[in-house]
Amino acid sequence: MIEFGQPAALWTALSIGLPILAHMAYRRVSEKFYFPSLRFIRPSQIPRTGKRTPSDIPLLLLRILLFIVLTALLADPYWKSELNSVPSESQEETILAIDLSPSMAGWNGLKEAKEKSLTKLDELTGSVALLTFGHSTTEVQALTPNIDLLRPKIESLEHSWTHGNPQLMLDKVSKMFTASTKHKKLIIVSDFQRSDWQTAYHDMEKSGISYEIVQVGQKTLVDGRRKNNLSILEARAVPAGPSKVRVWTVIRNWDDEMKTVDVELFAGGEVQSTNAISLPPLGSIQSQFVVPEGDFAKATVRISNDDEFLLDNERPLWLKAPPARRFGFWMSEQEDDETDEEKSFLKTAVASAGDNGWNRWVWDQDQADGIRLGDDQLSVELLMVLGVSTWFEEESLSDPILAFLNNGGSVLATPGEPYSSSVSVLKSAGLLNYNFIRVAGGANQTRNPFRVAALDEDSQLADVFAGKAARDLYLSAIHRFGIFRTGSGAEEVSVPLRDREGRPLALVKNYNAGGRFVFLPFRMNTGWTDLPLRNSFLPLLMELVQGGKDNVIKGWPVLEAGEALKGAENDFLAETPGAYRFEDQWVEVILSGTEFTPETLSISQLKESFGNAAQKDIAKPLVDSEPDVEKNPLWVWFALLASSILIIEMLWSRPLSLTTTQT
Amino acid sequence: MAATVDQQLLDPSHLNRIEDFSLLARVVVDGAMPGVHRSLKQGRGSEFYQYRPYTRGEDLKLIDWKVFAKRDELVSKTFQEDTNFTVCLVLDVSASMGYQGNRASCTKARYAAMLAACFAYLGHRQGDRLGLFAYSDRVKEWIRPRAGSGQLNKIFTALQGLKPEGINAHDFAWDRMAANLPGRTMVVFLSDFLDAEDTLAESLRFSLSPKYESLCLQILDPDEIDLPDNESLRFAEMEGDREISTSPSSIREGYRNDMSGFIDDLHSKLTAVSSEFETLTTDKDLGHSLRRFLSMRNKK
Repeated sequence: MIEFGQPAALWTALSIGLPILAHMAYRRVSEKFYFPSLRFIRPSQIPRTGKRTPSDIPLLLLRILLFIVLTALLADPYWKSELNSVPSESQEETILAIDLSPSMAGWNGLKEAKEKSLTKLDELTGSVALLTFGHSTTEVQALTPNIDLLRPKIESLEHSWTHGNPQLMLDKVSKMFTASTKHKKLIIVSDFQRSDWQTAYHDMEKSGISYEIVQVGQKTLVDGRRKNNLSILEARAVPAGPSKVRVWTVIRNWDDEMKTVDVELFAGGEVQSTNAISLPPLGSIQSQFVVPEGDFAKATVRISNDDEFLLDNERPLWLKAPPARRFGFWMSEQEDDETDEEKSFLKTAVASAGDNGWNRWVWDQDQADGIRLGDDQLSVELLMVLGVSTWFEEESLSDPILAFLNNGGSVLATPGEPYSSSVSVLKSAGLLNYNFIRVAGGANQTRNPFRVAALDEDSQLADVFAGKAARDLYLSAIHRFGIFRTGSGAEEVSVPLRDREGRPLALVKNYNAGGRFVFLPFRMNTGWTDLPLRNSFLPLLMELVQGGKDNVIKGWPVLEAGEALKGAENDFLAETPGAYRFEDQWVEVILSGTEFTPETLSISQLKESFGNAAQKDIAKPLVDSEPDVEKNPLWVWFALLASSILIIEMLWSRPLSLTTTQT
Repeated sequence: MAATVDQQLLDPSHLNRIEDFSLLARVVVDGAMPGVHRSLKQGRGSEFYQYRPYTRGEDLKLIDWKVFAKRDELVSKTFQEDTNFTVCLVLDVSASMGYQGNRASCTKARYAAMLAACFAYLGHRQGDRLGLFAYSDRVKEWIRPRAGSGQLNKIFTALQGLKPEGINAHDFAWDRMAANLPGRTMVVFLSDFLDAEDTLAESLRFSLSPKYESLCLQILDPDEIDLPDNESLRFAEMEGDREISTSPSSIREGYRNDMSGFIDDLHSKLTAVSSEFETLTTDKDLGHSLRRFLSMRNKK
């Protein structure tokens, strides 16, 4: 049935409507009619439709209807209907939400949560549901009046390994209650660890939900911090000289008092090494172990202290080195001294470009030859094509090299003999669209070599070559080099290095997948330049072929529990901490760092997270008088009806056309 | 068929299309009402009338010797004889004369001008001196009475240029016109005579003199007789700023009575000063008015 939200508006509308009706009834005619003399004309009442017609009464009824509809519209009409849904068995529903984030495993949190939850069940009436939450929210038991169903499920709960996200639980809870329920109650059992809860928010009062906070795992709580916890924050294996591996770890003391603890390296089923360390209050200490490389594939660093939170006392890690970067050469089958010298310089330079750690470059000619034969599954990161000439074209190497570049590989190319054929081969292969002009220099330039021009300030090389390193580069002598003329598509090519007359000394073309093609217009041997003999050779070479990418030390992927690693065929989902093999990678899964922290939120802070309403206050049902009534607003329909009637009325009673003459 | 044509030539809705008053007057007088006027007297007038063969006994002064020199034929000139009678047309061209209702084919001012043109033409054909006096709140045209076709054309031109505007000031205008009237004059008033019943009779007392005659033709629009046929109207005065919103249907009966009383009152007061009075509506043809004019003129 229709009821009104603002019944007082009916009286107000009546008081406004009567004068309006009177106004409508005695409305003045707005259009003037000029007449010779008004001497015998007397004023009279003006009916809106002029003379009496049969349309008067229907028009009157229409106007009355319009007024009634407008009055009802002002009074905020709504349709009140009894909810026809299946009546709830009880008028009280409770959702018991238990936190299963990893932090609950410490400070006796989960055990206490089970005990308190079971005790709480004895007090509850009506329907009860069981919800657990961590990184995700799980409805363990839907609303049921049979409370005993929940007991075994509570007793069997285990903590999860993924970090907690209570916001998901708060968002889900409000949708789980039956709409017609009088009393909706949420009981949250958690340690309310700050790192999980500080961003959670839900206005309980707005949702009509009363809540109860059951804080567990607080037995060592002092000033918002739980005591007695040490954590392994970080552990990493790095090379430590020939055939040795250094295990480097960081231990954190969360307490405000000094702690002494043994840090053990556990590998091969036994403790390999132990370090006794003293931890300052609220401080961290590094601890290191050196073990022979190759003895063990993986190890676990652990601290022997039995503190309140055990999950952060172990850290698995791989002791295996990650694979080195590989490089190789392509050159003509007919070897010559010039190419051999060039190859020797480049091989030595690139092999020494890495470090003594796991960031290494390894010459792998087999892999390079495999790519030359068309195998695209091989992994070489740098390919050096020496003395590009007709052999390149004869072996149809343009397709494999473009595939290599499009897969993210880097290619360094040098010209062969005759020089012009090198340029035309590169042009026909679609690698460089430059036209050859001539080779500058030669024997007559030995005493007066070409020099490298000053680097542009914004070029990447300028960052590397500064100070003495730049002077060494600028003193480099280039005796011969090819001069080109720019062809179409040259805008894709950058020129990081020029001679002092502005002619290119290096051409670089980048590809979408990170591939990089570098062409040097001179051979890398002493007949063409003294660059290979200089200190700046190695950084110049690696900067050109790598372009500043991928300079981070290679290591194995480290995932937090709950994260996923994309693989070639399947994804790896990190579930529990440990060292795992996935495809050709060695993966370390660790516990989320946010779960180590001992801080928890206070009750007052939690109330802010729940809309600042008191726990007990919002236990009152928001729709106390008529909880089973649904109100559907009708003002839109009334507004539409009023508009329609008004339009009909205006059309019906529009002024008839008049003929007015005025001179 | 001829009668139908004649009737159409007197219909104001047709005549309203003829802009040239000279043509209009000829159409009405010569076309629709042939023979209604008396023939001209030939004699010693000032205006040449025609040539005719000389007959013995005639005054030799009438012979045109120039024609005799050219054609070797004695021809005597005849002149139109002046009647020594004046027709003075008095037109009200105040704003109220500009009204045209739905049922009328022209404004009251146009209707009055058409009548005046016809009267002037008739008068001219009978050799009368013609004068024109047009006014609203000021004298808009005052052509002193004179005979001749030049005078007739002058009157036609003046009628052409009259525009109804301003408020009427009958007293002032009539007094000024009456002071300049020559003897033996017929004054034809063309006006709606609104609000004039008190002063009009006094101003026309000169009609009591045997030298003068006056014909008052009251020109009204059919709407002024029984109000427009609209359902509700906001009337605004054409010569004032009063406004009245009313329903014509509800006041029509009273209005008719009032208007009828006004016309009767006007009639009786004018009759008392020996003035002829006729009420015309702009949807009526011009024939009746012309006959009335001629009957009065021919009494003289």
